[in-house]
Amino acid sequence: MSTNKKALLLVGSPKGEKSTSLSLGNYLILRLEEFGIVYEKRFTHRLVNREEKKQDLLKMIDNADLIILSFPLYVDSLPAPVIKTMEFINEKKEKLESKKSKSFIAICNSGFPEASQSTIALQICRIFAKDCGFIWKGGIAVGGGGAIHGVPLQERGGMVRNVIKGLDLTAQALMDSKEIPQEAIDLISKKFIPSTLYSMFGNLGWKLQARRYSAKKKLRDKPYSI
Amino acid sequence: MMKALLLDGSLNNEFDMIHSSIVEELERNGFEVESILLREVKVAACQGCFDCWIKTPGECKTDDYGRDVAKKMVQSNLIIHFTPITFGGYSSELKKVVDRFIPTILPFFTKRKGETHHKYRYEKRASIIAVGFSDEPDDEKESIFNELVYHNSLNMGAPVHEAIIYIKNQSKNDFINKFAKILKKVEETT
Repeated sequence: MSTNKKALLLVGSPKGEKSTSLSLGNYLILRLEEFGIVYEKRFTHRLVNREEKKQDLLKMIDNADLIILSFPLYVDSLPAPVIKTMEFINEKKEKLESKKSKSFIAICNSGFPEASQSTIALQICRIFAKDCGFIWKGGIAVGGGGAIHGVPLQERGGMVRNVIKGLDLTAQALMDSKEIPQEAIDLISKKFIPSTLYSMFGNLGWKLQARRYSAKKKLRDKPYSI
Repeated sequence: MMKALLLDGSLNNEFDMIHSSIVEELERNGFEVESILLREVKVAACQGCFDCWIKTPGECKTDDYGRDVAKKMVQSNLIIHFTPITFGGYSSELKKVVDRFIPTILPFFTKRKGETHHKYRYEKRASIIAVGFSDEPDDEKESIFNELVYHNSLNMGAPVHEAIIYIKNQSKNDFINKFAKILKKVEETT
C-alpha cells in the first residue's frame, strides 16, 4: 500500500475511549500513520442508531483503502451494535460510489486467556468482508484483554511486547499490500501469562472489585431462581 | 409443563411460516411457548461494564426489557435462537439479547473442554436449538453457525444443543421432522 492512502478505524466497544479495542486499533493506526497513511476513526456504538452518522460512515468507507475493525468478543461473536453496523454496510454496499479496492482486517480481543476463543468472531468478519466485496487481509486475536485494560500499548510495558511486535509486522505487511503474516498472528495470540495464573488473578480480582461495592457476599446470588 | 422461549431475531417476515411451524410443533409436544419478536422490542446494548457481576450480581444495571429476557432465559427449559444466518452468525436482533445473558453466569473462571469459561450461576439451564435460515445454501456460513451454537452451549451450559438450517423453498415437512427429532432429545434430557 503506497502513501496518501486512507484508513478507517472502526472501534466496536461500548467502552469507547477507555477500551482495549481502541488501545489495539490505535497502536496499529499510529504505526500506519508513520508510513504516511491518513485515517479517520469512528465508534460503532455511537453511530448505529443515528441515520446521519450512518450516512457519514458510508462516505468514510467509500473513501477508505483500508478498514480496520477492532472489537471485544461478546458471547463467542461480535457485540450486537457491531453486527448491526455490518448489516447496514452490507445492505448499502451497492451505494458505495468508489470503485477502488478496499482491504479489511479485524482485531478481536477477549477476556479469556486463549486467543483461540475469538476464532468464530474473526470467521464472521471474514465472511462479512467477502459479502461486501472487501479484500480480507486477515484477523488478529488477542487473549487476556483484561491485562491491557484500555491502556495505550506503549504504556503497558513488557507484558504486551509480543502484541507490539506483531502489530508492527502487521503495519509493515499492510503497507506492502500483503496479508497479515502468520508470524504476527502467532506473536499476538501468545498468552501474557499461563491460563491457570490468569484465572487465579481474575477470580481474586472479581472478589476485590465486588468488595468495593459491598457485593462480595452477593456474588453468587440467583435473582431469577424459580 | 416445559417452557420454551423462542427468540425471534428475524429482520423481516419472510420466514414467518417456519416460525409458525416451530411453535405448532413445540405446542404439539406439550411445551408452553413464549415467542418474542425481537425487532419490535427495545433492548439496550450490553455495556461490557460487568456491574452485573460485581455491583448487582445476577442482574443488569440497565432496567429495560433485556432484564426480562434474561429472566425468561433462566426460567425456560428450552431456548430457540431463530435467526437469519448473518455472515455465519446471528442477526443483530438476536445478538442484542444474547449479549444480555451475561448476568446469568458467574464471573469466576473454570476450564471446560480445555478452554477457560465462566462458571454457571444456575444449576438448571436451558437447552438451545438454533434455527438459522437463509435464501441459499452456503457450507461455509453453515459451518461457522454450527461452531457458534456449540460454543454458546459451552458458555451457557445447555444440556442439549443443536443447530438446524432452513433454506428458502426447502420442504417444510423435512425441516419440521428434523426439528421434532431434536425436540425428542431435549424432552429425554430435561
